[in-house]
Amino acid sequence: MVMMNIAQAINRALDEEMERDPNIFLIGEDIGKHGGVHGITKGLYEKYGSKRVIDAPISEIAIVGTAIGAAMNGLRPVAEIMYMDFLNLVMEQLVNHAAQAKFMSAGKLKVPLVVMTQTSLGRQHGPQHSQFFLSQLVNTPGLNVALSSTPKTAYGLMKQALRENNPTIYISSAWEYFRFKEDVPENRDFVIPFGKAEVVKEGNDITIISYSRTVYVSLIAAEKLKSEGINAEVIDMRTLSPIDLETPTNSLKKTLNGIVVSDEHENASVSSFIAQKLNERLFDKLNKPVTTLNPPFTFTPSSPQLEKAYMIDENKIIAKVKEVLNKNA
Amino acid sequence: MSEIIRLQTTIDKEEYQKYQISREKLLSMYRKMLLIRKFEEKIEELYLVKGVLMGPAHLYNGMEAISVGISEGLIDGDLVISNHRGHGHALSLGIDPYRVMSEMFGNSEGIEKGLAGSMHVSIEPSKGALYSSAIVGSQVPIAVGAAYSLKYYGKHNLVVVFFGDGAVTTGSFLEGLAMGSFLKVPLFLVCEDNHYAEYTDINYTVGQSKISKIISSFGIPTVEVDGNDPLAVLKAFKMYEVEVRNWNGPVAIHAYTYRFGGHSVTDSANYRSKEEVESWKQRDPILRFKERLLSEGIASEEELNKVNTEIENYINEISEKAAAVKPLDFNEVLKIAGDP
Repeated sequence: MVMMNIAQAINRALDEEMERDPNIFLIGEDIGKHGGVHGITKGLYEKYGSKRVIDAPISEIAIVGTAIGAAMNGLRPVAEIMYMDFLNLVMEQLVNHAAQAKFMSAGKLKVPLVVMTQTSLGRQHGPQHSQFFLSQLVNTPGLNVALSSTPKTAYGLMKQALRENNPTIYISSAWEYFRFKEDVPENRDFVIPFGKAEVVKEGNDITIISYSRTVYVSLIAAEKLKSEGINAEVIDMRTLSPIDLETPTNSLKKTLNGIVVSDEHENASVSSFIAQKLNERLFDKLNKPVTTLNPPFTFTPSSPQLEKAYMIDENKIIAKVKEVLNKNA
Repeated sequence: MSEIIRLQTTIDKEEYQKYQISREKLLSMYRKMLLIRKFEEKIEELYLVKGVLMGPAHLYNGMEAISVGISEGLIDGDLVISNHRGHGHALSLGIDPYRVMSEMFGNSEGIEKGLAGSMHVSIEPSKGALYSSAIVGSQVPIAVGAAYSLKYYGKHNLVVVFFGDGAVTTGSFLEGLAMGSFLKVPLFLVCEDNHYAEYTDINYTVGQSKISKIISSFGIPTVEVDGNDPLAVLKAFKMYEVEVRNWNGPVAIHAYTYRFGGHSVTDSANYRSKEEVESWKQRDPILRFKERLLSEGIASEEELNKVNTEIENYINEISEKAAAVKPLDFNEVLKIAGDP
């Protein structure tokens, strides 16, 4: 095991896979000579050269389009989209081409592509640089959607993404990049299979279902709840497409209470989809319907104080858990 | 700005040897153009007269010389990326016409098993037809990526991407030009300028003469050519073929042509004057090529008439055959989509 943060974990996964597979190349803005605006690709340009680490012009459509065309002809590109907000620019390429090529060609084409991006929610980047949206990605057949929550998941999910035959949107949270370290397996073939959620903390009183940044926040909340005699189980979904509803279903059969915590807006979100499916499955078994905790239905303010008020933190999770369990502070 | 060359000549009889044009090659080009024409006329009949086909179909009749001319320049390993008006591209590349026809009928023997329809018949990687997009302009960045892969593998192959005049105003197209010229990819950008972007005259929104200027402003040499002459198109391709194969960057061919029908099969195209349509029909690429073959003594009227009858019979045969085949079992559709 090696202790590392998420930024180091992604970098290590990319480096090892590029060493293993000469068909992997990276393309994105400032990812080469400067190692990326968050240092995620540091050292890779020096090691693999400009052929495999491309400092692209500011042309998001062409970055992803180029990656798709190369993937169709057998390469394994990683296209970096610097902020998740910029994914809005490339939805056409992702939905009409990356996701549909296999279908339209009756299975003749494969698009083994990774689109790597991050949300900067929590970093005072304001409305156009802090978004976290998943519904439109998860609503598209043919796209894998993977979300890192800790250094270990960041590493294992990227490893799997680079060995997949279908396109993967890989989303991390820059707020988490340098925040904490975790033991990551030394085994270079360690992968986290897609479509398998993980119970990251066991408990009996309530199930907190989450993904991305809010898994980490949920774990802090669960720790604090313990001192108040509430033992929460925390589940990291890890991928939302494909989605594993078995793991949260089994957990809820035990805890009988559950919430889904996510940085998405609630309206038509993946979090409400998960809650709905679980409620359908366990309608007559739960103490209360599974509910969701999301930020309000507006954009992220840039002011540090206002952003803090907007965002989900451990206190909001604790309050929601107590509300569900009828344990008012 | 890079150079814009107005190619005023074609491959003359005296140059046949230089360009390795044999009698067989000329006859095969004629046959291919006629195959596309008869195919498209049959599609028109199946929609408008017989009413048996549904969905959109963007026909290539009138424009046959471009893809037939280009395909003569391709070698094994070269790739083509097509668009919504792709029947001609598919047939030029030698994709089985019966399977293209079957795709029009949406049956299980369609080239995409009936999943994709008319706008995607030119996806058959084993024939070099890598991909086909029905979103105007979006295929250009994808073509840049395919061309980058060839360079990445160290191959001296190239990619041809077809697009219409309507594509040049899209963001995808312009970003694709920027990326392609930056990466110096082996790519031929072939603008099939048929004068109309859907129902709107391109001269109203852009100006045909501006298309080459837009492209060449990205440092991409652009050859303007008579798109109704397959040998002129081939000559334009040959002018830059070696440079493109040797990674000196993309080159564009701006081919002036005209679609005989509307934007799609159901568009009566009443936004065009009769005089304009008539003047372009005078320049019918197939009639012109036929006259050339006759005047140069390549073939006799009788031989060419025989080709005509053969192709007509063949098209009738495949359309009757395709009409009788059933669609794919729906469970198969779900399997194709879900297969990892």
